[in-house]
Amino acid sequence: MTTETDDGTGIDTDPVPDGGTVTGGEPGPSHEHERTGNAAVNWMESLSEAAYAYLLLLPAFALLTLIAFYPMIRTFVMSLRANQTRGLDPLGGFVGIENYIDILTGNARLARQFLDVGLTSSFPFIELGTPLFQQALFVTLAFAVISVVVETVIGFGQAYVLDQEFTGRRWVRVAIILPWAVPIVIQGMIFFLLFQPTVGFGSDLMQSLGLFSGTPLANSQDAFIIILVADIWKSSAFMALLILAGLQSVDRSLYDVARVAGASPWQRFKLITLPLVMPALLVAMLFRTMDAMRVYGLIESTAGCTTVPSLSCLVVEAMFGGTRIYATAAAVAFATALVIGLIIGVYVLLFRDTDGGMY
Amino acid sequence: MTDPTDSTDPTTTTDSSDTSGIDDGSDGQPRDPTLHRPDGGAVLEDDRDADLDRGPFQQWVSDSISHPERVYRAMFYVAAIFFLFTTLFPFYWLLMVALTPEGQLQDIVFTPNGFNPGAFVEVFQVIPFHIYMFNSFVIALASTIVVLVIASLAGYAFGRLEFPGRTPLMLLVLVISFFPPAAFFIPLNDLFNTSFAILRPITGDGTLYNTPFALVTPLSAIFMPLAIFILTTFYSQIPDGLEDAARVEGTTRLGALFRVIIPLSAPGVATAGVLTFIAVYNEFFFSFLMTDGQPENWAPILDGILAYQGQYQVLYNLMAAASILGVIPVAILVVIAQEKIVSGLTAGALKE
Amino acid sequence: MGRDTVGRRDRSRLERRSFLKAASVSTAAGAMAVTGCLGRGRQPGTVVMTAASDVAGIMHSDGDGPSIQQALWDAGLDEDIRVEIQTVVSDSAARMQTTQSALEAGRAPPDIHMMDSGWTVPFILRNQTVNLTEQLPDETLQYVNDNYLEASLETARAPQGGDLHALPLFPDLGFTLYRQDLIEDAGYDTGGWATDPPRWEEFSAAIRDARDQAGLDYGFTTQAAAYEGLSCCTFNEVMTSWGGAYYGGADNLFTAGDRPITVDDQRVIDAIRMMRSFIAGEEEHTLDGYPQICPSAIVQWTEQQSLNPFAGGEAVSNRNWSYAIAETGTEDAFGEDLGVMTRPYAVSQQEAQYSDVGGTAVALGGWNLAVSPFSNREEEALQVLEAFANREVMLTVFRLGGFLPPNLDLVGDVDPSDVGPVARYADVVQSASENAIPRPATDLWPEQSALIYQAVNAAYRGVQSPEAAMNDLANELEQSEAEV
Repeated sequence: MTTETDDGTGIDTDPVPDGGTVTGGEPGPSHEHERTGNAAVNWMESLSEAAYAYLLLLPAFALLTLIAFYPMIRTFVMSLRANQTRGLDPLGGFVGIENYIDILTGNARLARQFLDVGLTSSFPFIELGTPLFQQALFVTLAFAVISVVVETVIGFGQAYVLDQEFTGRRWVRVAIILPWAVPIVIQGMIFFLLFQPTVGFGSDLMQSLGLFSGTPLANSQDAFIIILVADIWKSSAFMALLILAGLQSVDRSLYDVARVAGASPWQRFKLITLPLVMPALLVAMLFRTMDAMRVYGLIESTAGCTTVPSLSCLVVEAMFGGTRIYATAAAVAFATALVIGLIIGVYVLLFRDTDGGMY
Repeated sequence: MTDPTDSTDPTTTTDSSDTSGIDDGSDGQPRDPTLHRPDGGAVLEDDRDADLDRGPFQQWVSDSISHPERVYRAMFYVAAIFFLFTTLFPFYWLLMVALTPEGQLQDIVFTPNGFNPGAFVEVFQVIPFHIYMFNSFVIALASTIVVLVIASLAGYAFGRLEFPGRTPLMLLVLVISFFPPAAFFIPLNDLFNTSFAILRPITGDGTLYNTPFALVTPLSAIFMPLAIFILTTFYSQIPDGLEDAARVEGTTRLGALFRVIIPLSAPGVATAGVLTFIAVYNEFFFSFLMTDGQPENWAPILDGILAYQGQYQVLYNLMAAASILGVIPVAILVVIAQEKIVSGLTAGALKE
Repeated sequence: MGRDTVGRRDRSRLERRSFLKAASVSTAAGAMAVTGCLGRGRQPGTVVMTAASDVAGIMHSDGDGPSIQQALWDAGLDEDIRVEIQTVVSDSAARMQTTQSALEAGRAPPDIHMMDSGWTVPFILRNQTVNLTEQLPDETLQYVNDNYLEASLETARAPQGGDLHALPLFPDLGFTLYRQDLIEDAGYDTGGWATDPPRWEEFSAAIRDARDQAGLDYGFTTQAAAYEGLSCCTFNEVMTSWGGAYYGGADNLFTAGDRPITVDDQRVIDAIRMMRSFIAGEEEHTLDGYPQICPSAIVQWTEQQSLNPFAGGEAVSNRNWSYAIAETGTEDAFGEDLGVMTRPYAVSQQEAQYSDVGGTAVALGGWNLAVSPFSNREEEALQVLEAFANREVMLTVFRLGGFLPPNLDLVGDVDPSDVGPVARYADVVQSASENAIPRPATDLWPEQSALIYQAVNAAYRGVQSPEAAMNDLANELEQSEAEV
């Protein structure tokens, strides 16, 4: 064992090395390169650490500015104007945050509402304008929370299985990751057909178990569960893939050391595996949550946005529903981003101090 | 019923009890194999079964307790089989749908309703599906390369360098993923349909619509945040010592990135690559709206699959067959890439 | 592959061939597009039109077979002008999305957009179509106004001013298909039904008896899923046959903003209760005298799913578009046993309060052709449209594709052996054209349609009482109308 691993982990958990000592512009190596005479390389070597970092970030931010930030700003400006369904110009005059207020109070020009609650003076102090499963905010939040939790657990199990050595491991790996490779429209089609009463056996099975109604794809709660299962089937593979990559990076010798020291499997998991996999696990959960909150294609292919409204459903409906209400669409998009931002903020705060927290 | 005065502590019942006194000999003394308990039970040792009056279930449980590795092994197999079944059953069912002739799509459980393997050939006759697959493959590959290169640079900067504004910039990248893709659509639609004079010689009408760039560029940008974060995570885990060693030997800064960091983070890079490829290949929203759906205009596989839907009649069997065929390139890619994902190089590299 | 003009045209075979045609067409078009790309632009005289694979397959033919292109040339279109099809997906909502995204971006080609009659008006109101009344020659306009189905023309006109902005390519009408043989076996006389449909009570009793006697699974299958088809068509028909209306009669269909909202009218509620009886038998919110004849699954069904049981012989009756007649009326299917009529009714036209409702009704669908204002081939595109407004072209479209001609008188002029089973029911088609009820297509209709189909679907499923659902709907529609 080399000296680097004596501190027990062998992995530098401090993500940012001390600046300046090695990676800064040392006279040594760059001096050698002056002889080989590449001006651009010389210039790069002589940059300070911060300047070099900005240089590296330039391509990424150039692309993102063009494709993401600039449209984002334009969309925000769109959300501050009025809808206009007639005439060549899709937007009317400036109305400030009126669109946002309409959305939050359930008065937007949408078939399914973002949020539709009112306050009453008697217990329980809240009354619902429409059933909870028909309000996009609730549906999306419930979907995201439940799916991410279940997918993380299942994904972890799958990754653990795949991490072991056994014959045929390669094929089991491919098989477990395969759901992620299925196009969303096909994923939707599979579950749509499975629960069509005449085609698949899903609805009969669930009805005989007493869990579903006779027409699950038309019923908001049943369809919600179907879509949840469809998403868990597919996205556990995503979690498994990322967690597996994390597991694979863990040095095996650590387990040997721990075993010799008498740690039980649970202790090995808790004290070695979990902290070392945490960074990959957090990235996986983070992005899976964001993707789950933006679910759209799966719903469209399965039960339709009418039955299970999600936040992205509202955006697309406002944009392409036929009535051209782009301002409302833009406002819903920003409201969605705000909600997701709040959820992610919770993540960042919760995990800020753990080993995996690079934030 | 244990005799408290007995010096050894045999297991005689099915509830879990202290087994450590039996097998590992931690009391340090060799045990007499002929020892018997006063009540007729035997002291267990060395895997030999006692002459106890046990049912097979109790026997199994006691075996499990004395040999936990077996239990883990069994659990492992149960878990593996469970996962295999749950992930593969929908595919199997999809195959059943593909094999069912058109118009007989009823009550499909474990067998197709009729047998029509010709569906897999018909898929190509109805529309040139192979062109759609090719388009998707090229676009996904191009996007993956673009994403991996750009995100590697950014991941290196975020993961290994310290500079002012690091956290805000990372958060800014993350913010992109807060927005549904539809939020970007209208401005991008305008942008990609604007005619630029410099492009006119290349694309005919000067716009990027109907070129692969109309898809590669937005999709690369949309999937960039995930790749940046994955690569940041993995790059930051490489010890400084390795990079320093390479620099001492004369590599440039960029060289250090490409020759040292990336190979050492192969699991992370391969994972980011696979995830990006698959995400672009299967994307639902932009693929549909950024080209006009013709196979010669770089329409991806989504348009191909939707082409099997008539206005009132949907050819589910062809859609199923097409999707099975469409998954094959991705599966091949996963097989190749997963070698990289599981190489776990860190252990080797540290032995200098 | 040649296309034989003689012989039955089974619609599914048609679509298969048209798919194959589309493949060859799109490869040909592809080759042209590629050369166009390399050659920097399209060939002059090419007009690009969007269409689904069913039309794309018959636009051109290999060799000398008949095709729409040939018919256009025969009708006087300049031989230099060639129509190229940009094949799009068939789903109407998806086509609206791609059309909208093209017109928003000011992109052309395509030069001619095929628009569903249900969503042409929003595009007209956004100034994204060329005004045909100003651009087409007078004689063409005369021909169109005199001969085309009036209800179809209304879906293509600007609400204010009445200028024509799109040319109907083909209308579609909703029919009630039924198994004459089974109903007659059950003891009912269906002789007069084709031109004089019965009341709902008689119809439902006949269906129930026929189903029970023949031991079939289903009586009457229709579409009641929560989608556009419910509000535009199936529910619109049922409601109109009860003398109800969305906005107080057929006068107010195309002008949004100042019209009464009558969805909470008692007639509309009774219509829903009747459907609920059909689905659930005797339960809450049902109407006496109407037996259970529909499977509960119809609340998830769209057109094809409702047709399958009927085509498979497990249902006595089905409500569907004209393509269903082509599929089930052939000799291999039900042949002469297929009866076709318009919808049954509950309240006659005289008894109805509002104008033009009551009595039998059929929903109006179909597609229109509009010219893109961003096209740089506008002249040529207008000439193509001019050529479409021609008797021979309409007959060719009817023969090759089974699409009803916009001039419905022509249906009687054609031999059934040329066009398939639809021609056998020419009198029903005539009756249908007189009783067509279009959907209230305005710029607000898409959002109002969503509100309507949600409410009606919930009422059908028993989740909400019809009164509550319609009261809520009335409030929502009022809010929507106030936005104009």
